[in-house]
Amino acid sequence: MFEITLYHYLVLSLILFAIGFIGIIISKNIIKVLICIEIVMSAINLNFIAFTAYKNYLFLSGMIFALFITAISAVQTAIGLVLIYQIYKNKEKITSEEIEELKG
Amino acid sequence: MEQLNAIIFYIISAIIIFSSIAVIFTKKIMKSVFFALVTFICFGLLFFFLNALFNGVIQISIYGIALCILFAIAVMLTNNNEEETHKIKFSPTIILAFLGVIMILSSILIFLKETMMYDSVFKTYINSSHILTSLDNTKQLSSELLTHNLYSFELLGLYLLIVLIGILVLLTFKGESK
Amino acid sequence: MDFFANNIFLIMFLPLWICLIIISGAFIRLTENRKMTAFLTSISTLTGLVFSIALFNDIKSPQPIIIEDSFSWLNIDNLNIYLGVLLDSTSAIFLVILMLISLLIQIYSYGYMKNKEEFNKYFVYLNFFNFAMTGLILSPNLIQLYIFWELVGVASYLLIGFFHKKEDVSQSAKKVFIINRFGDTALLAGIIFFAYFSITYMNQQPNEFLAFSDLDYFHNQLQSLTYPNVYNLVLSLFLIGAFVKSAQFPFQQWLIDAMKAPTPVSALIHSATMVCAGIFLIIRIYPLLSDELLKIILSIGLITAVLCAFIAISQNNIKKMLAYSTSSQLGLMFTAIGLQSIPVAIIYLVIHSFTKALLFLCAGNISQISNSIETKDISGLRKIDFYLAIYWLIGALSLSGLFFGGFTSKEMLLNIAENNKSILFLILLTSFMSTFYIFRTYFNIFEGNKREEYKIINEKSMSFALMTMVIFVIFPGFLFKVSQINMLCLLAFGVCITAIFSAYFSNKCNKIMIPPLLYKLSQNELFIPNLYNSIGRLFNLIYFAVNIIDKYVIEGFINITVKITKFISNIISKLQNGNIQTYVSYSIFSIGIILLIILYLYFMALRS
Repeated sequence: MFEITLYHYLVLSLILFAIGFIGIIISKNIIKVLICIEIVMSAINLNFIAFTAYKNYLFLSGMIFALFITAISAVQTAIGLVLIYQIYKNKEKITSEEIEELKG
Repeated sequence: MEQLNAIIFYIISAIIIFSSIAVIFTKKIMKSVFFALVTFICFGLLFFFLNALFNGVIQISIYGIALCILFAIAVMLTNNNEEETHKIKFSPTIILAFLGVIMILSSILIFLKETMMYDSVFKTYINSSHILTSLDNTKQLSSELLTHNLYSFELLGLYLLIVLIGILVLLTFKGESK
Repeated sequence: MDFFANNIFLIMFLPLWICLIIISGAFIRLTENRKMTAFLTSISTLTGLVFSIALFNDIKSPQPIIIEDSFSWLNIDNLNIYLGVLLDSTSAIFLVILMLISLLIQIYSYGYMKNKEEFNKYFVYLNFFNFAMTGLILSPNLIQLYIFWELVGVASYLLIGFFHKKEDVSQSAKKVFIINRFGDTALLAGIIFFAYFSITYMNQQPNEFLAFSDLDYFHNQLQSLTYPNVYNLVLSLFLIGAFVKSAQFPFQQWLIDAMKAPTPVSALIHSATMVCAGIFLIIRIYPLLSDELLKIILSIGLITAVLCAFIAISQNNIKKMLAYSTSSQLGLMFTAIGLQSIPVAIIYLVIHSFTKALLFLCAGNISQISNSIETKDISGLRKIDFYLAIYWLIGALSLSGLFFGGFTSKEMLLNIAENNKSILFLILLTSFMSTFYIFRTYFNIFEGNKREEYKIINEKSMSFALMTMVIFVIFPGFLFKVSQINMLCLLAFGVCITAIFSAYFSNKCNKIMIPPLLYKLSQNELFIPNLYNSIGRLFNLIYFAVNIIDKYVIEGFINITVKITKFISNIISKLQNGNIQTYVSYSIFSIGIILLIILYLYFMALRS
């Protein structure tokens, strides 16, 4: 119990992944959805870095990939926020019940 | 020292779990942004424990500070004063989601439990007796980034440029109003 | 003469080629000139006539020769179908008649159809008929005979339905074709039986498949292989085919409907050439017929002769009367075959063709003068067109057997039936009725008061054709010598003179002296069309049932499928509610299931 193995990190990242996903589905406000997406991405980052830390790899590929994930998801959130702003200008409301144009 | 390491790990993980649950379940958005900030900073601390200094710094600064400032600005711009009521309607959405999450959790946990006894290599590799004197691999990381992963790095730069232009276009887009 | 013998196929394909020229000419507007169309057609028939006369001379030379020339068309295992030409004395005679009558009818049609539209189409169909009939006459085996038999039926359908814009004409053409189809099916069944026997049971295959030159061989083999009843049954299928084509008793209805054709077509097809195809078939398979079959042919021929003559005496429509008369005379030809004398049948056929064609052409002239073909509308034509009356009289005298060609043929027929009193009586009865109806028509149409609106027709081609046909009715009679003038001959003569007088008196008193019941029976054509109509109405029930099945079962099945699909798709489309979080939950659920499956497989692999 007092020895932190790889599995602890993996379990932690799994729990955070699940929590983030529940947040995506439950949230009514879309900005909260974007925040929960970021939580999921962070959990994934933790997963990759845990693997590179605990195994004797030649290249530090996991950490580099975590960098990439960070960059791309930050950019994705930024674009998402711009789009939300446009929707706000049209609709004056940002709840997920209002945005159902693609119904069918 | 090992126990100190473990205790700090457990405390930080508890904080992370608590604040991420709090992100979802608070009523006002500004508070959820705050809790998100806490989550990301603790994530960064965890990265320090894993011998990934550069990653931790990037996590704290970009995810933690920059992104949360961005969220805060967006929240202030969109002016949503409704409080979220969390009466969870048991729509098929939520039931399916819960089921799915439970299935994922259980399957991965069972898998991990079964394989734990076979793998004796999953012991600590890093020298965890020193919390703050962990080895610094920034030099190695950056040299690898620019040699081994050169193409992806350049493409990422190109991608960021495109996104920058795209955001500018989106912001000044005058669409048809209803 | 070798040139003619080597190029017999030219007779068959020249009309087909002219037919194609006229059709393609319509596309490039080349032969809009009507004279050119008729000229080309006549040239092809004239060529055929020259060929057939030359070949006829060859055939009739002291040593009779048979020209046969065929190529293998289809060759699969034991099945070996040949196509080609076969020319013996029968074919030569039929060919000469066909070409001659065809040529005269084409000249007549040029004048008759001059003012009608679709002139070129008419000549295309005439050429096609020429081609088909020539192929039928020249066929060396049963398969080719069947192919051209059907093609002649097609040509007849096209020509009958020529004025297709009128509703009843097109319906009649369909009815004629369907009845002929029935006969064709019987013939085909007979051919298939023959083919089956020939392939399975005959160990030494004859070289050609079902050839007419191998029929004796067939006859001996088949009679030894089968029961006589089975043999007669199979051959009666051929007989049914021949009877349908030649409009004998149970099937004579189609000839009446075929009278809706233009009159030259009736003259060509339905009196002189196509209806002789039945007789041609019987002559070709004559070596195969047993005694019982000959008795069947004899009896049906006599029944038809008497019944159709009986119906014809009360008809007021000229073309209908002539149609029934054709059936009746063909019945007499079948009688001649039944009495086992083919030369008599062929001579009777030759003379009857010319006579009937002449009478139909006169009917064409009459219809053009008076614009109707009912006898009650016409009277006094003798004072308008004297020559027409003469021609009709000549035809009538020949048909009744008093003078000219008909006399010769009837004498021959009576001579071969000498020993059989009942047959003799029936033949004399038929000739009495034939004389009666033809002269009654003469007195009705040509005598009486002249009507003011009639004008004489001055068409050169029509007159030329009529005059030539008259020559051919008069002169062949003198080619054959009558054996002797005996009691039979005088008896027949007396019968006919009585008939002429009774016709004259019936015209004077304006009624017919037979019991009214018989008259009614005769006028309604023995109620046979009514019988067919009521059978047709019986089928309405079947149509009704089939209609219901089609509407509710088959279409209902399709409708139910549509409804189920719509229902299911309505349910499924509710899954897509535009909310992205819903879609995310779907994907999470699927990922969960996939992970569980992978876990399960992993543990299964681990345990084993």
